[in-house]
Amino acid sequence: MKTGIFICHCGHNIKHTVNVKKLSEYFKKYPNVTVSQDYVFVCSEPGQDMIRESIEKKGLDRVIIASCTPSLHGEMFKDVLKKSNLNPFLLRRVSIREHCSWVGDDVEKNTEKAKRLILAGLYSAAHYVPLEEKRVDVTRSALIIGGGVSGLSAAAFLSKMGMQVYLVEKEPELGGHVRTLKNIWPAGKDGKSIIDEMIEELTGRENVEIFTSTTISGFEGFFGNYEVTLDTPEGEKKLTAGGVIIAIGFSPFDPRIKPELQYGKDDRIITTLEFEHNADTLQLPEKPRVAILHCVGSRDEQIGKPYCSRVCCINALRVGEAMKDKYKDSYVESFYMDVRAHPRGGEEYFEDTQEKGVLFTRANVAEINLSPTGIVIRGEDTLFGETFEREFDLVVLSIGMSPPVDNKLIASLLKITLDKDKFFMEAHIKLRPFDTAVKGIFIAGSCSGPKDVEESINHGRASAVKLFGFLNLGYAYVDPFISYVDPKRCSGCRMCEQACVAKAIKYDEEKRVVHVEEAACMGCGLCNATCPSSAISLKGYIDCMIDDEIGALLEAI
Amino acid sequence: MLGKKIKNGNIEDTLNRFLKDDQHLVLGFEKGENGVSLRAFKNYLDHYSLLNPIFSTNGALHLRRLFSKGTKIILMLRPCEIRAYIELIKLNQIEREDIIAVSIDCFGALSSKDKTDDIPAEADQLREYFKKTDTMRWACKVCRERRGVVGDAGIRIDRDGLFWAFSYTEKGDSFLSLIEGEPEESRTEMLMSGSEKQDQFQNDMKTFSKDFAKCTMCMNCRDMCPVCYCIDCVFNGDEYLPKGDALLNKILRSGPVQLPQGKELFHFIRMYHVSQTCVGCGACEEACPQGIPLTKYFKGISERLQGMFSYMSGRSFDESIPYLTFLEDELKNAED
Repeated sequence: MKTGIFICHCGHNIKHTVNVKKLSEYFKKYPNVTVSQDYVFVCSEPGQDMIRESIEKKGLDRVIIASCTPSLHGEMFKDVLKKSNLNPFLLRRVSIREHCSWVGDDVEKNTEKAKRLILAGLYSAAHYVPLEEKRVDVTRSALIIGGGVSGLSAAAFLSKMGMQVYLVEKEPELGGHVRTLKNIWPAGKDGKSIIDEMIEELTGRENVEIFTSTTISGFEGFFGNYEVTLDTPEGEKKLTAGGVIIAIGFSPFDPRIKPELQYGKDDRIITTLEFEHNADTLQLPEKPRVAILHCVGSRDEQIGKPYCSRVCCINALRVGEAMKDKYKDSYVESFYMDVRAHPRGGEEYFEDTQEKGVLFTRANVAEINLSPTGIVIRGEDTLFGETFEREFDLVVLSIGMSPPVDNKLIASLLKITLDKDKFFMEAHIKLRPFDTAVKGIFIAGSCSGPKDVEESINHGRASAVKLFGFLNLGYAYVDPFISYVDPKRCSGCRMCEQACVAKAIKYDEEKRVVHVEEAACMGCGLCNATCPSSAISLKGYIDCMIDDEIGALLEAI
Repeated sequence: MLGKKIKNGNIEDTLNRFLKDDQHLVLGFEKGENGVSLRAFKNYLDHYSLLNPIFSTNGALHLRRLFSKGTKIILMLRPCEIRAYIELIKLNQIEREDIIAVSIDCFGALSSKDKTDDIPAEADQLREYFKKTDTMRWACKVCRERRGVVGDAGIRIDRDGLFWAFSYTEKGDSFLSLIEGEPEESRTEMLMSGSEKQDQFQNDMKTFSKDFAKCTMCMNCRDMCPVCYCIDCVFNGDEYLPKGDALLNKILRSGPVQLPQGKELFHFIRMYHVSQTCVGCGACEEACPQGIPLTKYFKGISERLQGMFSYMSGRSFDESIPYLTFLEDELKNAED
């Protein structure tokens, strides 16, 4: 085995707290190390040439680059190996900048630590084998679950790009919650017209199939070729989808969960959603006294909803404005924790509402009592620390967004995870906000957390673009880091089958052993850890590799 | 509960009738010159004994990887053996289709290592015997389920000394239909009612290294454990426990080791593997040539673990092993 170790100075970044000369000298004593060299910038053109030259002239078969974090320049260094006809998976990156030189100033200690980290890389790289990225054929079609604004916008994009789209909606009509809204802030448009516009874009397109009053009853297969069973009013229907976008929206919070609010016992206590639907038919005196309660079903630890629902502050402001516009002499008081007018123009709108005469009281509302003359709100003014008791003619509860009712069903069917608030969880909150942990399954809209209409539409489009990128070519490459089963060791207990999130493990009834569907495997390693006989290994991360690496970190040098 | 009364000798007749078919087998106990032992009967029963007062191995051990169809088998075994059999079914190590599992009320047993000459094999005598002496195996003393209430059917003994057969599943019904007579309501209480409350026993690890210092790594405990089912154990081969040059290499690299090395690791990994399915039969301790109190640890820890999931190994066919069920919301308490 001929290993080349290249230690980067990173200009001054690594060199000033790590003795790079000592390091490169030290590793020369190992018999399987052919080249051990330090260089000012390994990532520079001359640096890359140096690696290529060593590979070609000395015939290196393992390359260790001790430099910055592996996620930086990762693809670039892989290309260097590829250009020299060396399998890119024989490259090992060791982080001696983020993990070493930037951590402390003690040159002695830093050098010692860098030595161990590189040694761990050296031991581990000895077990490396060349791996190939596998090409799989994918179906150019998408299943979109949920026909609200997010689902419709995703469908519009994908169908325009010429992909087959299957849009599934549980209700008899498309449009979700937005269809029922009379006024979308700040556009001032009717929700139905927005939806109709979106549906019109889809109609007449040959590559769009819309299933209303339909639920999903079966979900099998893996990335690129998911086998879906639909339960339509005409009976069962099977189809193949390359990828999935989940856009099942939210369910409005039901204030009955908080009995102290007396919701449902008196028709003078309504939610913002009911206000939106029936604002014109409300029976109110000439000078109505209206109370608006913020954060009903949001930011409330006691009922397990600690999150902010983002849309309800604007809704509350709109109720206040509407009341003031209709009844000039009305008394409108908003009870809030903070006003979070998130979207663009929200803060200005908040000020406008205040100018129109809506009163804002920072308060904790303790309870609502019904009296024959009105509705009495008791609570504490948290700015002045005083308790108050006031009577109103109408109480509007600004309700938040709760997770969709079908969240658990969809999550178990598609084997994806929910976050602690029971919304769908993204693969990474910042870097992969549209992906789920399962390849080819995306989330869009408020099913991944409270969002307003604009955000939901954007989210839907973004997921559609990502899915399009995955499927457009008709084939895709999957990472070579996948599990494989040693059939001689497998006892067929099927424990791994339960642990597999990607449903990639299949049981062979005849041989009584399992095998891994390569295209479906995500390489998470859960099966690997579950197997009591160690019959499963993860390519690129086999057990002895990890053992040796830990050994190198712990052993005495 | 509706059951069938078994008259004297009736059980032998029933099983003999079943064995007339060449493709049928009965796995039960035989009373021979050298005591009672496990035996697979074919064609007819000989010196059959319903109870086995001596514990040597767990009968389920012999059923591991039994997949052939067409041969009908009746198991007439202790509750702990039937429970291990049920766990093996859940782990896909036994094809259940043609097997009827009958658990028999158990009064405890002597260790096969002890003197076993004068032990009776009849129910009432055995009960008296254990009342007089304190020689019962420790695993049996702290047993959680000695009643024949697990498996497809059970044979119970009531306070009048009469034998009853009860069915718990459809397969149990077919077993009951082999017995002569009509089903009737049992009015007398059973000799063993409910599981007896057991004393808390050792489940901490304070004396672990002292107790296991004697271990010679013969791995008999693993081989005799009915639920340790892997075809190829991770401790076979050099991967975990290197020998020869590989060992030398390891010592030179990471310093001296005690030999045989990896004793603790072996028992910990085994404990981790079997703790959810352990039935507490004590076969491991029975197999240990060094007399290490394995039951104390394996039974203690597995019962505590199973308790966390409200699970009891082998209690029913339908309960899934916690290890095999992935629930997102489980063990919330353990998170912090």
